[in-house]
Amino acid sequence: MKLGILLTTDPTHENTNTVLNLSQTAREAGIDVAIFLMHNGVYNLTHSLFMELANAGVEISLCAHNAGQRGVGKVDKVLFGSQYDLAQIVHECDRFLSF
Amino acid sequence: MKQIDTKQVGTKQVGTKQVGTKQVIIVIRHSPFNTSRNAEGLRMSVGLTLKNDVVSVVFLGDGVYHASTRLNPKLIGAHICDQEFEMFNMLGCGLFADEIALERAGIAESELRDGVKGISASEIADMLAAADVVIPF
Amino acid sequence: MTQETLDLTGDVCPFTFVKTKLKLEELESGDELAVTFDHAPAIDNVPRSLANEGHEIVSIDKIGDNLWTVHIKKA
Repeated sequence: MKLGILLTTDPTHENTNTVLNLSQTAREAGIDVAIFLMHNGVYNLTHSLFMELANAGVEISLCAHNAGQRGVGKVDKVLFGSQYDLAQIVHECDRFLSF
Repeated sequence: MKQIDTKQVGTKQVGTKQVGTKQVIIVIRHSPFNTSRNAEGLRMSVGLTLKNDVVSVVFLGDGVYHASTRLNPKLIGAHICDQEFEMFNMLGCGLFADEIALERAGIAESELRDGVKGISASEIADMLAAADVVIPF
Repeated sequence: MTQETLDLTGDVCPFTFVKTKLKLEELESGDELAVTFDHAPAIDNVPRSLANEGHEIVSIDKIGDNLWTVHIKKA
């Protein structure tokens, strides 16, 4: 079972906590999680708890175009990808949520 | 349940969608002013066609302003979504706007961008219920 | 074997990949397409996405300041 999540808001928004909790719980239940960050969601790379998700086996990718617009630099374990990667997540996942 | 005709280009039809593809609907519901969100949602929608899923965009509430030709973001240096709408039409994506929201906004059907069609709330509800993925943006 | 070119300077994600994909759909298997980009994220991602779709990336050439050509062979 795979859960796809789109996050478009910055880490000051409540959505970040929602996605953090949802992703951690899903992983503990053995559900695969793939998160795509775009728009202001790319700022979540600055959130330490968010980056721990990558260590917990959550796939994190983002729109490199949005990251470039916002001066967000590359970090390990996060794919600086494109809208193709979001399309792939949407196409392959069993359930998709957007925030 | 009434089926909304969502077009497909370059893929084989089996019923209303090809086996293995998904019906993806993006809902644009916020005002396009003071934010780049709507334009980003439309850019994302173009990208969602890349795995050959059937993509439709529905404009609700204040989102209908973005479906109108009245919008002139160029005047304030904001992004113009001409390329996005051109791609939607080229790729056969369904573009729909809520009739009630259009009426509230005072937007006539003749003022809608190419390819955008006004539909009723019940048609929208049917579409959303039939979709595999709904992305409110 | 047909060899085509496509100029995508000025285009950003996802138009860089969408337009490349649409052009490839017009070609036959084995045909080659040379696409020019000036969008740095496209150089990282378009070849990767194309390879994921089964196409061959023949070469990626930097031809100028912020200007690249990707040579693709259609699957």
